Formats: sequence, C-alpha cells, structure tokens
Amino acid sequence: MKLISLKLTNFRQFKSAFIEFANDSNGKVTVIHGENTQGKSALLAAFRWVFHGYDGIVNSIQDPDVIVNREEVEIEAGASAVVELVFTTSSEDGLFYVTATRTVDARNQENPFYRNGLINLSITNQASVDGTTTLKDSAAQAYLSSTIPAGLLDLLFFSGESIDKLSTGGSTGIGEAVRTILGFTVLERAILNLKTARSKFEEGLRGSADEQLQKKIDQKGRLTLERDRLAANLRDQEAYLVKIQSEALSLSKNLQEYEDVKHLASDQIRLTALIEAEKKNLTQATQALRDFIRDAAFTIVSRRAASEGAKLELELRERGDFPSAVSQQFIDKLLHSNECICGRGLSPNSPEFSKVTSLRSAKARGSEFHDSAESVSFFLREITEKFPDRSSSFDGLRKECLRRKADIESNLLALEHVQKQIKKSSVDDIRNIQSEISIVNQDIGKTGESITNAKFDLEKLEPQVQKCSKEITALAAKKDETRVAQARIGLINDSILSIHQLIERGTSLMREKLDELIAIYFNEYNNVEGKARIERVPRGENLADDFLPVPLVQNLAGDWVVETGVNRAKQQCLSIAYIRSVLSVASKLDDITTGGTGLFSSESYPIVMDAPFGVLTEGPAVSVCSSFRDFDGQIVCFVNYANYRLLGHILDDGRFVAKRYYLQSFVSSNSGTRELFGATREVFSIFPAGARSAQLYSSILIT
Amino acid sequence: MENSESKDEAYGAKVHELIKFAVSSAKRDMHKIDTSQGQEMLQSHIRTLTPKNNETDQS
Repeated sequence: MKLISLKLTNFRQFKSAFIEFANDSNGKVTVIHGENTQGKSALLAAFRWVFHGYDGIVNSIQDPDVIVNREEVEIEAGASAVVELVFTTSSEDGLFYVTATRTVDARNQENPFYRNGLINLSITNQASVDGTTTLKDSAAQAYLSSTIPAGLLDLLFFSGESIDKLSTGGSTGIGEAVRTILGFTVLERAILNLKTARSKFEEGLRGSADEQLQKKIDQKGRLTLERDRLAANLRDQEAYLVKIQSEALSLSKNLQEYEDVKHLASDQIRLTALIEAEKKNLTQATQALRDFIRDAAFTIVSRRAASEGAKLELELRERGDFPSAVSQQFIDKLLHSNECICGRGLSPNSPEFSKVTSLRSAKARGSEFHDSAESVSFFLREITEKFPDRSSSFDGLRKECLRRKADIESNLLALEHVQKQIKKSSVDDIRNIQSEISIVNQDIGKTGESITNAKFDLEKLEPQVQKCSKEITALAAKKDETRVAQARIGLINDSILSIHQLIERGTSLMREKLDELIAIYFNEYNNVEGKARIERVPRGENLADDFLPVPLVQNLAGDWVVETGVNRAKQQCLSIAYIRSVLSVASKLDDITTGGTGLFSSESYPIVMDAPFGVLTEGPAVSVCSSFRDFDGQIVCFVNYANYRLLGHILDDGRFVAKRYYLQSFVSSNSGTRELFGATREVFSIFPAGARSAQLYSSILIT
Repeated sequence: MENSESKDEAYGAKVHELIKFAVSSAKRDMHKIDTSQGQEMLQSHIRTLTPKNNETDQS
C-alpha cells in the first residue's frame, strides 16, 4: 500500500488542503513540519478518519464528533467535511488505485448513527480493462477495514506522544495488525480456506471410506455365513423330513397290513362257510351222480333187457354180475314188486329171489353198486355211445363234482394262508406301530415347523445379503473416489502443515530481527540510559499472536522489568523501533523465509507518524530518526519546529526526504480569534516553506 | 530410489503450488467483499492438482 495524496475540505481546522506524498517514484519520506497547533495532529486524524470514521479518531483526538470546520458551519449549517485519500494497493490481480472519500454533514456529525459519515470508494485496476469499481457505505467500509484494520490503524497511523499505548494500552488489535503486516493473516486465512476445502472432501470421504467398505465386506461375510448355515440346516431338515415321512409311510403300510387282518378274519369266516357249502354241494353232486348212474344203469339195463331179452339177463346172472339192487329200497322194491327187471315178478321160490335175498343179507354189493367196475364202465360206455344226452349229463354231473372238490381244496388252501396271517398279527404290534406313527407324525410336524421357520429366516436374510452386496458394489465403485479424496486431503494437510511451518519460521525470524534491530538502533540509548528490550507476549494458541510488544528495562539489580511509564521516552523509542522492525521484517519476510517464492509476501505498508520524537531527548530522537534511513517503506512524518531543528541534518537530506511541507496557519480575513480545539487559530492552510529546499515543495493548495 | 525422490519432488511441487494458490486466493479474499467463489476456486484447484485416475497421487 502506498499513499498518493490527501485532500481535505472543511476538515477540522482546514478549509482545504492537498498533499502529495513521496512514494517509490520520488523517494519514500514525506516530512510535514510546523509549529505546534498548526494542524499536524488534524492531518493524522484525517488519515484515521477517512479509514474508520468516528471510530478511527475517537481515542486519538479531542472532540472527535466535531469534524466540519466551524467557520463553514457558521456560514452554512449543512456544510460538509470531506477527506479524500488516494492510495494504491497491490494484489494478485494487479495494482489498484483507490480513491476513498469520506463526507460528513455538520448536522449529522454528532448523531451516533450518522457520525461516521458517508464513504465512497473508487477502485481502478491499472491492469484491467474492466474500468473502475465504485463501492459505497458498508461495502466501501468493509473494503477499507480489510485493507487497514483497526489495529493496523493504531500501529501505522500513530502519534508519537501516545505510541507507548501500544504496549501499555493492551490493544488486542495490535497483534492482529502485526499478523496482517507480516502476512500471517493471509496465511491464516489460507489455512482456514484449506480446512474448509478439506471438510468438503472429507464429507465425500465419509460416504465411501475404505473402512466402510471393509466393514460391509465383513458384514456380508457374516450374513453369508449365517445364510449358508441356515440353508444347510434347511437342507438337513428337509432331508430328515423326507426320511421320517418315508418312515411314517412305511409304518402306515405296516399298520395297513395289520388292518388287513380284519379282512382276513372275515375271509376266514367266508372261506369256512364256502368250504362247508361246497362240501354240502359236493355231497349233493356226488349223490346226484350216484343217482344218475343208478338211474341210468337201471334204465339202460331195463332197456337192454327189453331189447335184448333174456340174453343179457342170463349172461349177467351167469356171471353173477346182474346188478343187484343199488339200495335197500331198490332191492326191497325188486323183491316186493313181484316183477323183475325184465318185467316179471320174482317168485319167492325162484332162484333169483334167493340170490337177491342172499346178496341183500350179505351186503356184498348192497350200496357198492359200482364195485362192479367193469359193469359200470360197461354201462358208461354204453351211455357214451348210445345215449349222448345222458353222457353229457353224466359229464356235467361229474365235472360238477370235480369242481366242487377243487373249490373245496382251493378254499382250504386260502383258509390255511389266512389263518397263518391271522396268527402272525397281533393287537400289540398294531398298537406299537400306531404309537410309532404318532411319534413320527409329531416329529414331522415339528420338522415342518422348523423348516418353515428356517425358510422364513432365510428369506429374511437373503435381502440383507443382497443389499449388502449392492452396497459393497457401490462402495467399491467409490473406492477410487475415496483414494482421490484421501490424496486430496493428504495434500491439503501437508499444505497446511507447510504454512504452519512458514508461520513458525516467520515468527522465529521476527523475534531475531526485533532483537537485532533494537540492539542496533538503541545501542546508544542503552549505553546512556541502561538496557531495554522488547518482549513478545503470546496471546493464545495462535502462533502469529506472539507479537504484542512489551518494553522491558533492566533495573540496577540487573532484572528485566516492565517499563511502567516512568520513562515514556524509552517506551516510545522501543515502540517505534518495534513498529519499524515489524515493517522491516515484513518487507523481507518472504525472501528470507521462503527464498522469495512470493508465497506470502506482505503488502508494503506506509507509516504515518505525528511527533514521533515528541518526548525523546536528542540521542534517542536522532537514533529513531536515523533508523528511518534503513526503512524500505513509505514514511509520512509530522514534526514540530524544535524537532525539525534538532533533526534537520537528517530530515533535510534530499536523498532521504523526498517531499517536505511547511505547515503554517492563516487567520481568515473575515473572522476573529476564537477558541477552537484548544487553539486560537481558525483557518489553516498548508504551503511550502520556501526557505529550505524549495525545489522539493510542490502541489501546495492555498485557500 | 530415484523414482521415489522424483515422486517426492513432484509431490513437493504440488504442495507448493497449492499453498501458493491458497495464499493468493486468501489475499483476494482479504480485499474482496464477496468471497463466496473463493472456496469453489480453491477446491477446483485442488481437483486439478489431484486428478482422478492419476495413480501417482497416492503419495
């Protein structure tokens, strides 16, 4: 930052004034000298007012709410005071020309709401084609406050007579100001911005961290294990179910077999009845056959007898084969019917009668008529050959007999089997089987329930596994992003660490330089009045807070004690040396700390001092003034006549002071003497003091 | 070893680049009323320094 010009209109004592400051193009020191009460302090106040309004001057001048020139107010109640400061400020975007204009209306200057006046800024970037930016009110004030914060105002635009307040006033703004000058504020802001950026990347990281992926994989592993276990369990249970169902089926079959016994019993009864019936039928059939044969034989015999006569009868009788009566009744019939087979009655005296009678009594052939097989077979042949219908009847009867017999035998076999089966089965067995079936059925029920539960659990688990898989896929996809985010965070962390290291190095350098510079420029002072030094007081955690100056002096006992104001001159010296050292270090900090990388080169700041030598004796005053020679930055210095004489050999050196103004007041022609700001002058102006180095005086505005 | 050193060097250059950008952004912030875009620019620059699919960024 470099001051270009200051223009006052109706500001305090000044009707108007215009000052151009020495800057790089024409030197670096501007000296404004004048007698006391000529308005040097008002000029300092103008700087402070233009930057911070009422707040900037409330603690540095009397009547801070009387800004507008009183004479003007008497002429016009609505008169305004205007201060216009032109300065340049450099930034990354180039060099800016800033014109700050603060105006306050006399009617508002005491009003707490309006006493700061109105501020307008016109900002022109020399390197930009965008033209000029205009800011007003709060925006303009915000810009100025960021350019020259309150603490910086106290440090850079100060009155020498009150500079000791830096160390004794406890101004917390000083630490801030020092940080700003050293560029640490910018670095801290950079750290803050990096941390904010880091938090943004960390937000992204939280959703896709490797750790989360691993957790998900573990979770899926557990879920899969559980799912497999459940599935295996389910399979086992299903297999077991099949097994016990088969067992139940087998038992049921067994039971069914036992159930069949009931049928067997009824079969037994049925078969027995059948057998009995068949036996009866067989008997009947046998009898029928027997009857048939007998009847047929009789008929045949009769017919044969009828047809062949006595021949056959004779033959039969001779052979003794004459068929005897088949039954007792038949025989009786023969005996008592008085007729033979041949149609004649047997006479009781006949041989036939006797024979029959003997046969009968002998029972030789009584009921065994077919014992005479030959006879029977003969008959049968006869039947077959000559009486086919009879033969058929005979075969039918005979088959009937045989069938009955076969049925009986078959039924007997079936009965025997049934009886065996019945014997095998027992009621106890059935009960046991039923009990086993009941147990197995219960088991089946339980197993079925268990399977249902297992399926339910499995169904419940499956979506979890699926969800987990999807999340893993998503997380894996994000893994690259995670890696990149981690890389970015790592880069940010390392950058923050590096900036902290830069601040530490700067801080350390600052300490060394302060000690060094104080030793150089106050060596003489030390020799004369004893040793003094400045300590920095750490304010808090922040590394860059380490710069509140505390002037210490060494007492007779050799102890370093805080200077409590007994020797304000010493304090003043130390304070100015401190400021000068800070600015000096700041101007070289980047070069020394980072090798001139331009990482955090500080803005160059001017220093504006009102009566810096006010309370100093000659030695310290010369020492302080001489130290300005080594200062790279812009200096504006207001000195009174006494000091100007004292330091003239330094201040008149054209190689050192580029612009010099003599401040002299005029009494206006139309006003008398009156009390104003403790002085008796009413209207002041500034003009060149031609007596000395007149060629350097320029741009003086006289009203 | 050389690769590692070269990698370190490249990484150091990135750190330096980021600091430089962060500081210059902060300087702009200090003098601007509206700083809402500063963060965006910074994050964008960090993304430029650590592009995706660049395996060497893991150091």
